[in-house]
Amino acid sequence: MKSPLAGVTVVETASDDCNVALRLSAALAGRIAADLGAEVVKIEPPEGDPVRRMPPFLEGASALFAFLNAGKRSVVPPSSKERDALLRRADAVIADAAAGAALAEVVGSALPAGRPRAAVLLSMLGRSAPPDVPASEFTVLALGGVLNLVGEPDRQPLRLGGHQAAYAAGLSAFSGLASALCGTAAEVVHVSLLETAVWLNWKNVATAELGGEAPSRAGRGSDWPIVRCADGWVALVYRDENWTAMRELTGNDPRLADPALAKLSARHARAAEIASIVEEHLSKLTRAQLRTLSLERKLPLGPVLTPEETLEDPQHLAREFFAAVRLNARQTVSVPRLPVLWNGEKFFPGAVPALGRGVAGAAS
Amino acid sequence: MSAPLKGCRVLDLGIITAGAATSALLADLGAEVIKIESPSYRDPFRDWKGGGEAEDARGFFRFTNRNKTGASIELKKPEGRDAFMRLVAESDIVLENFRRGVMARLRIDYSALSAVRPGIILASISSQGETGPDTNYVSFGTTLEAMAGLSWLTGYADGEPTPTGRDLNYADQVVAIFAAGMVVTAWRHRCRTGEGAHLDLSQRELTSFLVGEAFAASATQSTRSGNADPAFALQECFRAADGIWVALSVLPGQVASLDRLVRRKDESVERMEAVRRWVAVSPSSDSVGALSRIGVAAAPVLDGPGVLGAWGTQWQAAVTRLDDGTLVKGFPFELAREPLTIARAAPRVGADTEEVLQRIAGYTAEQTQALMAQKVIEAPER
Repeated sequence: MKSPLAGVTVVETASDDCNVALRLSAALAGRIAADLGAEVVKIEPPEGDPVRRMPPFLEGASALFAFLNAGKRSVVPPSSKERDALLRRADAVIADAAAGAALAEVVGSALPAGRPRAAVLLSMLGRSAPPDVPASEFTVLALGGVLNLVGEPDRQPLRLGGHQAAYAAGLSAFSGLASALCGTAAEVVHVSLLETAVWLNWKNVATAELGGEAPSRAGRGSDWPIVRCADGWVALVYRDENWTAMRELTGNDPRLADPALAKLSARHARAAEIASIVEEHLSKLTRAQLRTLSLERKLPLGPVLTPEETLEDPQHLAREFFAAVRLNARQTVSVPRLPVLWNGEKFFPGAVPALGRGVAGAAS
Repeated sequence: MSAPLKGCRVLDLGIITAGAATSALLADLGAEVIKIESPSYRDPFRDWKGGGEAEDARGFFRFTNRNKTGASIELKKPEGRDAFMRLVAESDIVLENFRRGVMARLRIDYSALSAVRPGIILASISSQGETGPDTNYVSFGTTLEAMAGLSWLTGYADGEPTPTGRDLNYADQVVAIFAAGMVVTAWRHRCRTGEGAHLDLSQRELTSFLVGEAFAASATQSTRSGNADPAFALQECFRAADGIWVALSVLPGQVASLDRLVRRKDESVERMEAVRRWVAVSPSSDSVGALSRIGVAAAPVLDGPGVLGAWGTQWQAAVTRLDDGTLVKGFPFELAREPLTIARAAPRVGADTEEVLQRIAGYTAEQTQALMAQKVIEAPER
């Protein structure tokens, strides 16, 4: 089924001073809807969505904008009347909560002829937080307890690469949108980056309730650190049942034969020591060799791939994970397709919309 | 007016996080979710650490699997498989995150399921996907982050690729949100067309999707930059006098106000150093408050207890309490008209097996008792 959302019109809109993180969340949700066959219309200001000017760039054009907006139409409404007309026709509207307040007439009302409508309203911190508190993806990760978990214990807490706080909320927005479209009446979906971040970090909130020791950054001392190998890095991931195989990987280094290390709790306490010993031996093995060994011995080691290497990875090539999407008349850009197969069929991203002209390269 | 998945029945073979959390979200949206375990295989999450009343319903399991009923059926025995398939015939969705090959070995793969229930939706959540040279690559969250490109992009500017760690296990958490959305989409499609679907969800692909902008060929930004972000003039954590780190993000238009606030008079002191000194001399709440008042995003870096302590004042939906006060997982989004709800605590193993088989699959009480005696099904010990 190539287009489960065929016939659904989604409109993305944002208030003028919308936090850029909310633009990213909304755009991700819209991108997923577009991949699934919805007609997704992005309302942009005359100077274009600010994300068009955000890195990374490819020959002057934003690859970030391209990834997030492939397959959508871009419209710059000449007047607020035209904008409102667009919104009134939409099956679903995705907007920041501030824009939603201005769309009160549209939000939460059914379409003519009783068709249900979904309004997805995004905020940084959600409805519990004090209003007007400035926020960023970074401060959301801090408040959600996620920032605390990454990096070295004696250094600054580290953010996750890319835009995880915004994108995770984008996934929430998509799932909320999909849920609302199942309904028989108008529905309003509330999504906040902070609520999503706390939801993702549920384990540490649960541990706090259950009275366990609060986890924090362990760096090299973590159970599953990243260590060097011959041509890069590998994530040293293994479970209790893999301990014998891990020792074999080191040629049965006598230091790992210490009977005390047979116990999981001892290995947990001496994780940094184990990592150093294993790393000595892995310095002779490439990631390709480690991948082969992992497959053979059912080890969950994780060769660290660069984005460039990921593009060429056999698993992604076999599953056609990347598509070349038209950026402009001269350029295409590699963009991941939607990460799901539906009866074996893939959803490939459409072209990147030029500002106010619908599909890139098309006549207005 | 009714919940999005009202009338939908899900057979939940999901385990640990990726599968079980997805099904829990479907239950929150109104589906009847029956967790299927077996006398020879129970959700490993039942054994993971964390306090709890019943031996087989410990902390993390209880946190995740609320809102479901529970059946225990031995799928490896012919009578057990038959019982399961009779449930399938009356169900809409089957969800699983087993190692690849298990569903086929049990003879309950998509072709078998759709033979007894045309229009069945099978959601298969796997590390690497149903196909490809790595389909059998054993992977956990950290494995996937490394292979997806996320680890490459996470780390100190002078440092190494960095995992998010087992305590967050990012790849498992995000797949639950996306997979639930895809299952809901397939359900809506089925309601409109009668057509089922086999959904093949790869956690590795989702994790790469979530760094999707990094793959533009020749894009120059594929490197680690610590906490810095080109959209901000300054983004970093600084340790306050009370030992708590303060996270802040300063927009380019805010640097003049920031310089005034931290008393940075000229270029002789680097801005980062000026901020570091200023944050270090006061408690975190003071600097966070002062920064917020000039419009700069700032927050304390909270740990688990800190986040829990902010329930109700900073956030309230992501984690919630049952009527008996037990803390459980909440919701990643909220619906205004048909709120997501939790009706029950996580089930003990097989708690509802007989009831489910009688009500849904048409077994008589005598028949289910016979299955119990043959150890094809089980109920919790009294």
